[in-house]
Amino acid sequence: MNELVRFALVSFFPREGDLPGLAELGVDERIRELRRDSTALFWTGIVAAAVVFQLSPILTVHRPWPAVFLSEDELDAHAQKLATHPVYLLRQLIVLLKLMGGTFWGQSPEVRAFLHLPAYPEDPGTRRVEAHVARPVPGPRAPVAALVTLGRKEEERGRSHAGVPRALGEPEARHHGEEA
Amino acid sequence: MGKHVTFEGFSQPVLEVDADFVVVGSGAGGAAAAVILARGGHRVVIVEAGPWRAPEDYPSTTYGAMRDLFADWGSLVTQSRALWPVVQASCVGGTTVINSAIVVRTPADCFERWEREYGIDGAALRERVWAHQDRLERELSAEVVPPDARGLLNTLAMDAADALGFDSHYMVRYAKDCEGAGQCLQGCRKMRKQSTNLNYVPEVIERGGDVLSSAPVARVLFEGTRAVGVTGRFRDPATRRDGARYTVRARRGVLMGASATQTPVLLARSGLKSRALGSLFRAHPGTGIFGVYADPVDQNVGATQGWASMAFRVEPGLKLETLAIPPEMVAGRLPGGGRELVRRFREYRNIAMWVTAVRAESAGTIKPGLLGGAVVRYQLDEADMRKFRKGLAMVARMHFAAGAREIIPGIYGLPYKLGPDQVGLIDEGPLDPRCYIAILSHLFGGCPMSADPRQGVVDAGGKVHGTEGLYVVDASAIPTTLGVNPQHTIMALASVWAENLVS
Repeated sequence: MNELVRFALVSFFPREGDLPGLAELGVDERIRELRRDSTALFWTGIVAAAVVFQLSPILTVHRPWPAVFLSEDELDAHAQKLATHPVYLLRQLIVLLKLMGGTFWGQSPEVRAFLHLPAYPEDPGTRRVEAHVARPVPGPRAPVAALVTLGRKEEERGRSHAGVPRALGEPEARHHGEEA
Repeated sequence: MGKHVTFEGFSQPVLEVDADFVVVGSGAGGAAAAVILARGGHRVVIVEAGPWRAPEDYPSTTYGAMRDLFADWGSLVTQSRALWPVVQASCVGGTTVINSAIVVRTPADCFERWEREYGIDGAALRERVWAHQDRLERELSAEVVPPDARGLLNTLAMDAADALGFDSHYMVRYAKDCEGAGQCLQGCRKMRKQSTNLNYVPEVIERGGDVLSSAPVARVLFEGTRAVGVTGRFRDPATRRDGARYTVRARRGVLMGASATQTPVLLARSGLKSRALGSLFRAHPGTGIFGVYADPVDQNVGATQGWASMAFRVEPGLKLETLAIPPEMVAGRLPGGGRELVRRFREYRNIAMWVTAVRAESAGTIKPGLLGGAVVRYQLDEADMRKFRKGLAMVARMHFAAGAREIIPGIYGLPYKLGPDQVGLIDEGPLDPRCYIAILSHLFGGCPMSADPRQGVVDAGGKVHGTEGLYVVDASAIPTTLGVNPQHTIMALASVWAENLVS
């Protein structure tokens, strides 16, 4: 089942020039995690979408065999055409595949580096089990340099509080939304 | 000092707890009501279906958010012609953990409409709601997005509104000293957003109340027509296996704040008979358009949502907003597949997402499904679809006014990209909801408020008609859409109704 899902996901995010494909980004471990973590309903939806992807080349590239037997170019055309297929339910099933494939691909350190973004830290997956949960104390405020520079421009343009019609907390100066 | 109790293992004994009030749900409505009751000297127990995650537990990735914060992996969708997702969280703090904490006061015309159509004393309710909104703004540090937290996504939108000559503003949010980390949707690890798990829920414990987390309620307990408590089983949030039973008995009342999708279903499962139960479900369906700019926008750097316009709230009935979505979500949302999709993604740094939320009049239903979950039937009628389309065209024109080279409309049947002289294609675009990718994020109704028990589930005080000691304190009681972000209204209404119980 995992192989079926893997085939569909990597077909939507193949290598393209210097951008690595999902197949190169540890997708097998991600799929194992998904199967373990997700609800039965969600996983069933993913598998159903992968089955539809496998069996539907006749509808897109007019080949009467499963997607696994398509050439590389045919498979690419199949993914593109199925994602934009006129039948709504087909498109929606493919949205599910793209959502998960896009999640695995787009959050990878390699793709984030391409976007000049730091790698995500590991998701802790933890929760509070203690009887007394302490109120968290935020650290010092530290916006990144690009935001500070943009903020200065905003102040120079007189837009520190731009558009907020009236101050908050004063009865005669309420922002009730109806002024618009 | 009270305590927090959660699922720890199957060997836990049955838990029996007594309280003055039990509050189901710890999001905007539940937490706001619970803290008012606790401040009034009552012993309160909050029962929350999801786990308690502190900022140190928040995920960074979208996958982690779906797994750890979203209800059922975000898999609840409308069951109508179009399958649009209904976005809600399941954790202590509820959806306040994953939203943008946007603060807009309840518009006066909403109270007038509730009086006219639902027999509520609108003027009296308005004054009390606004008074609580004053308090909430102070307590939860409502602030304008600071200039050095906005990012280009938001400043470009202000440029566009200025160029087109309509009113707009940088948002006011429950966020103290926001630094623009762009992680509202995954929970603010910087601890700036004032979600209720950081303030009101801990305060309830400090005042002697208890919090049960990972404890979905199975049903409300009744003695005759009087609600006397709730019962259920703890559930392991990782494996979703049931654990020990619990029962919370409430001497004075049961307050339902489980959300617009869960409260009607829970009341139906508990045997409540009301012809209005599950009716008048409404929403602000939202969708967006990407603008493609010559220079990088880096939408993920800066506040997730920082700019809005309410200039079109009354006519045609729209709100315009910014919304940054992370790269992994953009990868799945761009049209196409395969190498073409990856080629399109290369422009991520240069795209900005602005959205429209429709103040829709269409109404649907919320009912329990065969497996016990919520079944949402909701579809926009033609008039609302026209607003929807108009909002998208306005967003498209904003992008071009801000200097975008092209836009990516994401509408089935239209080209992948449109230029400035092609916005008319959106004006004349399809009215079939299946051609659009949208979500329902602001939900209302299901247990609507009305003086008439045939029309509504609760009265003007949030009390369920025909019962004693049973109240609804979440968005399910709001009988109409607001045309503004609802969190501030939900919190204030819940506060008003809890205050009635204290006095």
